[in-house]
Amino acid sequence: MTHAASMNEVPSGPELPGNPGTYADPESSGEPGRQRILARETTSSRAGAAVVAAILVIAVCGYALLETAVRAVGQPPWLIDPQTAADQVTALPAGVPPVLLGTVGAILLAAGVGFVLAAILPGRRARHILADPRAAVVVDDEVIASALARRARLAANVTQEQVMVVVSRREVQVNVRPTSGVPLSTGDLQAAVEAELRDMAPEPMPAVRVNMASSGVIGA
Amino acid sequence: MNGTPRVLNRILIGIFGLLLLAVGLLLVLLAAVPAVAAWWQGWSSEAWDRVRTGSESTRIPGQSESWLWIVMVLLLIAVIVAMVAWLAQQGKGRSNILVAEDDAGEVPGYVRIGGGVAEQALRAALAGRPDLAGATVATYDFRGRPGLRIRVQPRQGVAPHLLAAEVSALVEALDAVIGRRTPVFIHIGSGARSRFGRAERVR
Amino acid sequence: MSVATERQLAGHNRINTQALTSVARAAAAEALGVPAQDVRADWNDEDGLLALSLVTPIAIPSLTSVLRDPSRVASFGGPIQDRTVAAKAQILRRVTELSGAQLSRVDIRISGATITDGGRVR
Repeated sequence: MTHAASMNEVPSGPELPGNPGTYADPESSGEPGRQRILARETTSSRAGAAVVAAILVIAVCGYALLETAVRAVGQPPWLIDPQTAADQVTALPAGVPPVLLGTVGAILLAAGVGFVLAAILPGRRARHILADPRAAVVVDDEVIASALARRARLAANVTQEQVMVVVSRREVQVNVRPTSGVPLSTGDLQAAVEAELRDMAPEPMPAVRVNMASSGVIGA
Repeated sequence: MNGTPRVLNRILIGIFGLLLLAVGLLLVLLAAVPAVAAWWQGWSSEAWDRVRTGSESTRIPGQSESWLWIVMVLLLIAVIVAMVAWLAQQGKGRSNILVAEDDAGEVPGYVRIGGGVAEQALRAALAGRPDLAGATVATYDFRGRPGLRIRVQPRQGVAPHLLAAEVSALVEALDAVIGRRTPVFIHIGSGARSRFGRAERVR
Repeated sequence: MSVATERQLAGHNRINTQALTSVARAAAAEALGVPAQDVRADWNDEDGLLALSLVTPIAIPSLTSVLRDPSRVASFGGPIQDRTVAAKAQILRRVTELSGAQLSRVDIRISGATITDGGRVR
């Protein structure tokens, strides 16, 4: 079973919360916007990239504006005269060492790819949706992991240091180091975590995998 | 939960990215491939010449420059204004009025219920709870309609579905107290840390 | 009633704005269960009639007490919306009664909540 996908997971379209039958039909509770709120809150808004892009464009256009306005009014240029700039650009790669040109180009290329990816990829946040008749509820994965870790700890009768839970979109990994001399049943632990997960009913429901460490902790 | 224009963000970021990509690609090719360099020098100087003859024929009478520069300036200003407006849209959306009704009952005049009522009521109800490390409530505007955003930070190990059920019950109590159901969004979170990393690790 | 007049109002008495404001605030305080000093009243002329604009908090039961006992909402006079609509009429009657001023409208904006458990705040 593959581990949770990385940033390059191919998106399968805007993934909206699944079957509306999972929780009370939002239409009947008078909230037609519920699906949209949930879709919004589980993906990144790309506000950060937007701010960076906007500022860069403003800076470039601002400078071009300065030079153009200066030229239009007939005054001498500030840094580079637009005419001279155009001459130099059309003469490329003549006046510039190729290594510099290539490096700048590569940087721009990489940045461009980064922005395009930011635009296309869904940017899912580490969150799950919970069913609720009245409100749109979204839970951070860390909170889910914390609750499951507690349940696992109690079920296995070990300390906090012996349990580590990793929650990703479709999988919950429970890593346990048993106490030396006190064997644990993987099956029981798995059943306990799955039961808690069923009560929680997160969406999408992750599968549980229990990893029992081969070495135990002495005298816990 | 706010009014950040998500689709617009992605479109504009995509266009910006494509522009950067194109320019970057061009520079790399110019540096690496002589054939491209030759083509570029020819094509671009031709294009620039055409622009220049264009600007020759559009001189402002009595001035030494063509009015094309003025057009360019206006265009640049327009782009800058658009970018500033775009920037301003990020993170918008807080609102203040939860319920507004005009001329209800016998007496003319509006009845407006401010978001502060719901915020205070919910905050007070969530304040003393031992299972929470923090709670915030805010009113926002969602597609022209008011909504409530409740953010709670549970302590370690608290079961989120139980917490959600209790907060939801409080919201239903609020509905009864106010007299109207407002769309509510509950975020059970762990603070700022949930932004980073796809897999969350907790002991 | 005071003699000094700042404006001419329809009605038998001439009464100055300050006294009118006090009357309006007291009426709102009584209708909504909050202290009069928390109420803000503003006046506007509307074609010769007086328009009253109020900004005030309102007394409500705590949400946890409502969960335990849903009838608390009714004991406060109902949901906020109904109470405020009723308060408009009550305030208008009271102001007209005490001052003779003819009000054309009463606008109320509920700015906040005073959470009281165990009866209304007087």
